[in-house]
Amino acid sequence: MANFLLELVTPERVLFAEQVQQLRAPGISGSYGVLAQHAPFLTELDTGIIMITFADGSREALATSGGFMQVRRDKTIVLADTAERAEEINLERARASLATAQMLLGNPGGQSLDEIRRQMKRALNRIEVAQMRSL
Amino acid sequence: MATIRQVRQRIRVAKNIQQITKAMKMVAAARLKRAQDSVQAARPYSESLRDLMGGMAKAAEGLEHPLLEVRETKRTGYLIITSDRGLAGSYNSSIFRRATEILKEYDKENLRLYLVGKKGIQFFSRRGYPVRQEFSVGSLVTVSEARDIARVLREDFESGEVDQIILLYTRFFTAITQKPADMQLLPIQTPAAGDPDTTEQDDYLFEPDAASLMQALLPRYLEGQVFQALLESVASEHGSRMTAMSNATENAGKMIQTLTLQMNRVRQAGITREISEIVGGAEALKG
Repeated sequence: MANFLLELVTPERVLFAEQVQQLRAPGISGSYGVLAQHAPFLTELDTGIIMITFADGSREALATSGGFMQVRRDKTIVLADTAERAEEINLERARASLATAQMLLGNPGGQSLDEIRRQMKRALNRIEVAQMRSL
Repeated sequence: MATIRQVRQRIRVAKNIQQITKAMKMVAAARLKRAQDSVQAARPYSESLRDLMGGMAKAAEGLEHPLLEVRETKRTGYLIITSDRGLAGSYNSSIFRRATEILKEYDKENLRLYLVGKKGIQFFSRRGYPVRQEFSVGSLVTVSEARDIARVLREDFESGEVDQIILLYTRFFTAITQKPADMQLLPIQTPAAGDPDTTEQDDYLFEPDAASLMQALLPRYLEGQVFQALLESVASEHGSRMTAMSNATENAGKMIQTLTLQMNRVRQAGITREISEIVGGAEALKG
């Protein structure tokens, strides 16, 4: 299977830049798959799971909270606001964050509901990715 | 002339100071290394983002967005980045000098200052500038700190509290060269699409469309610029402190040398005097 160069970049660092077979990313209007030779393409990403199939066929899932994906002829760049590997996720903290969000949903106080929902979504997403580690 | 005890005391003081400056230099060097690495690591993101905006500029032409809105400038905001701690050579004073130079063009009531760093807060509030908001960042800058600052700036710009926001920070060139620099943050000036090296002239497919992508890009672009400026400023601070402390250590060394010479001379003078007194006494006894 043909490979292409994927660069996964967050504001803090380059997470990796290497040849991969396939990429799935959570676009805001649906999940996108990218293979080699994909047409130039640009989209915004939503909170969700980035799934990468490496050149050797192994797969890795990362949790992202949004960003952009730019498919170019020479490479694909994912500009993620955050991107966490499964082993980097603190499951307890994610669960705690989910619990606070659920609590706030019942009693929002000063916070906007949208913001709380986003927090919940991020927490759920991180929990999901963290649990994929065992797969 | 100073007595031998006084000179010894001064040598001891100089040695103590030298030890402290040496330690500070080493700490600064270690922090500088870390800060420099973060600057390096953050560069690809901001370059890609700029690249992306450049590539989209054409497709999103004529787009109206609150962050792009150029208004008649009544009030100007300045985001000024300084350090929490002193003893960093000319790091803070260069920024202050530059800021005073620029700010004297304005009436104080048309200014709003957004300050990062205790030194800046002290300096500007003492001189009666209208401080709109203070921030503090740790020595390892995080994206969320940059986001918080960007959010405040954005809200003030969108609400019309200020019509323009300018950033004043210290650009990091090398460990020994750092220079104050200013640039406009808001309204956002989109990078020109012209640069053929960086912008690919491919026709992208946009999902959902160029305008909404631009809407999502602009706030991140602002955050990215603030983040970059914070990182560079922190690296500059450590670089500046390292150079200052290295000079101080050297100067202390020189001082210790001169003082030791002086001490030896005083001691020798004492011995010579005693000998001549003894000789004189002996001569007198011979009588």
